[in-house]
Amino acid sequence: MTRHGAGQRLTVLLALLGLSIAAMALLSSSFLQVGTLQYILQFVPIIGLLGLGQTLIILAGGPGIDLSSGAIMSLCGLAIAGLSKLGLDPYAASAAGLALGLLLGSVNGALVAVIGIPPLIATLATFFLFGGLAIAMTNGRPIAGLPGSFGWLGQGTQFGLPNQLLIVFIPVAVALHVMLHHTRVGSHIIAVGNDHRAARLLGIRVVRLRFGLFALDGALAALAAVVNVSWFLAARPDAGRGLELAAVTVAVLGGTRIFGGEGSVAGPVVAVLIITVLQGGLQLANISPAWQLGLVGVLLIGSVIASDLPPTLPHAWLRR
Amino acid sequence: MEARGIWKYFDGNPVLSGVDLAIQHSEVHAVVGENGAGKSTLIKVLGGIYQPDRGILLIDGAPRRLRSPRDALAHGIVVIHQELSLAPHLSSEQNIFLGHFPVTRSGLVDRREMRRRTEVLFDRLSISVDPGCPVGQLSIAQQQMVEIAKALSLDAKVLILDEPSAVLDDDRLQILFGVIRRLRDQGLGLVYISHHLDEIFSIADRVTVLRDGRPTGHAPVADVTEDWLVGRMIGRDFASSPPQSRASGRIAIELRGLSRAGQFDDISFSVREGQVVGLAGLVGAGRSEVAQAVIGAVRPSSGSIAVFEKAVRITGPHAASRLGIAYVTEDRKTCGLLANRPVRENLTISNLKRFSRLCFMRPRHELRFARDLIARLDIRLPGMGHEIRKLSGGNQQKVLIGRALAVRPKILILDEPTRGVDIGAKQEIYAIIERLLAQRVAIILISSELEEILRLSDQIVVLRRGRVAATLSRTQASEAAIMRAAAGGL
Repeated sequence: MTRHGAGQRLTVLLALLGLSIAAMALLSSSFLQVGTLQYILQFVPIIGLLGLGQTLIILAGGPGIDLSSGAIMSLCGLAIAGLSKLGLDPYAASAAGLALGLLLGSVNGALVAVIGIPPLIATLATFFLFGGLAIAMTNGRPIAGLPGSFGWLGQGTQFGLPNQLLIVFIPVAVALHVMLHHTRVGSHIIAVGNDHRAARLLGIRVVRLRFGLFALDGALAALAAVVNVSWFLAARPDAGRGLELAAVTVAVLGGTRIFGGEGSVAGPVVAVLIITVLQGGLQLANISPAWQLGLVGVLLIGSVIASDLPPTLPHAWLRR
Repeated sequence: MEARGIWKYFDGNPVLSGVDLAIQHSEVHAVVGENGAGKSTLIKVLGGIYQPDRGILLIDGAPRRLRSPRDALAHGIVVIHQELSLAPHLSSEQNIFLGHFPVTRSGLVDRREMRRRTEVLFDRLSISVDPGCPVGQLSIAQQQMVEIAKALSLDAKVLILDEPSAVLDDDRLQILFGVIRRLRDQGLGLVYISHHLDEIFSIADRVTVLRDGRPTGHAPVADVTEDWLVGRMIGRDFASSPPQSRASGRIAIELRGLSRAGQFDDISFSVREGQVVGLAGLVGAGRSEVAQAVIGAVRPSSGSIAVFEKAVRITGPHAASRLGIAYVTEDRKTCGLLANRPVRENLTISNLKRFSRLCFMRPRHELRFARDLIARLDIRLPGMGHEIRKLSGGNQQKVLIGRALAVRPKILILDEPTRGVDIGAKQEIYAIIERLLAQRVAIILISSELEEILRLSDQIVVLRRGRVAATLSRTQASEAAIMRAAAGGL
């Protein structure tokens, strides 16, 4: 997508966000209250971190995807909670969790970038591996009872906004935005996503770049786990189940080209807001979660049509 | 079929300005012009892929709108594109009848009828190809014939061939010409697009010249000369400057017994600063493979490379780039261009370090550099943000050379730098090469055009079956000497 196309996509997404907020406000009178919005914003960081990690993987082409990020989040959450229960300081345990995420992400990176297994297959395998490991280690039982002081990050607020948003998600999103659009690495990601053979011939180290992105994605999943554990003061072995698909949804709804080479950070960020607003709003209006998922599907298709087709479609219609 | 006063705009720029083209039955009509002259766009208008913004198409005297390629097919207009559109895993008969399989009364595909009709078509073209063989296993020339057979099966009345000769050697070309003449005699109208003027004279009855989207000449081929055509095409004179002897410097790169199992064996030569070593040889002689090994895209199995008399290990293209070795690929489309990215990015992506501080990009530096390069290489484009795939072949090639220059190379490998590029752009690329030599860049030139090799090289290394067959100095070299070495003592 050219700059023009990316801008167009962002406009469509922002309009969609406005529309969703308006619709939810009509649906339930309590939606626009400060408490409600605070509640809804709490759901942004976890999906957002996974979604941005996924976006980077998809951007670098391949066609790249990481189906294991939810499982990495579950496993890292258990590690953090488990280490804390063993007497380690929860923040030190979080650091260990991040390291574990980096390691698990590197496993994906090694399988995909070094050995050359297609990302869909490699990360499907690690999805089962990591997810199975999480269940096996705990017999399916959650690890609960972390010290309340650790809840500051996941439960606390600052200026009315959740700490996890202010201290974790916004800085990470800004950093990734800068990385993608204002650094060499970002340009290399886009180039590799466009044509990895050309990128290699002109001296970009494709293997290293893709490996690094999978490792980064693992670390972002672990960061989501830190937020999650701090929020609930507990870790469930299935905490991340299904979130890998939510992450793909965020990336694609946010305008990432599924074959790589086109996309932004701002797009997926707005996409997360849309999804959480819809889910939160519908929940508030007591509409079944099944419908929430259906709506996300419709939205995904609708947004692609709205932002990708106009340049050609109306022309074709007008000429008839 | 006739096109009258065709105009077509892209982003407000006219790409075709009032083009007329009349295609008669039983006639071969050649369309010539530099890259970017509007030939491809014209074909797409004729084939129903683009709709003209002004002007009309007449078919058998009646005005028609072609809204899609399907529309065009329905009127018997078939375009055979440079990139063939065959399904490689299907047989030629399946490819020919894809979309309009003959069926039996019960609605199943009638295989026997399909085979029979395929054989009739192949007879009509006088070619022998096994109709059941998967197309992917046929040679390019045979695939082209299958494509033509497919067009005939659609009852084509007008057949448009877009640079069919680009992928053919001389013998195959003569076979193609035979087929074209036969079809002409059977009453078809043919449009033949090519860069090669000699082909125009041997096959076409009538010629239309385009320049910058404008028709600049139209005449029966029998009435025109090569000079006339060239003048109409480029609209200016160029002097074919005789090569001067060049000052040479230190040895920039030296290959010592470089080998890679099954590809090339014991390749040794060296290139001095400010000089060109030409790698000549037939297709498949291993020239590109040697280049790939020099930039580290593939590992040689033995031998060594020295850069400025220091032995180096080149572990990959990134390492080559660090040593000041840049490579311009022969395969623009699949491993050169970042097709969907703007020209600016395509120019600078090879050396972003130059446009960044720490690791942050400095967009203004980048832009200034890109502007400068575009001016220096005379790349013609509507805007910096323009996606590169919309440029002509010559301009795309210049962007790739510009990209290589962004790394400030000391050693530059040019693999077929003027392939698919028109005469004007070719001269400009030669001028760029001469300027680089004056700046003491060492150049390895791979080219299948003997004229080009002879014109540019200080020394010529001829490869045959992966081995050095001859090393010729400028004084020893001639087309005959190169061909003798390349083909093995004719």
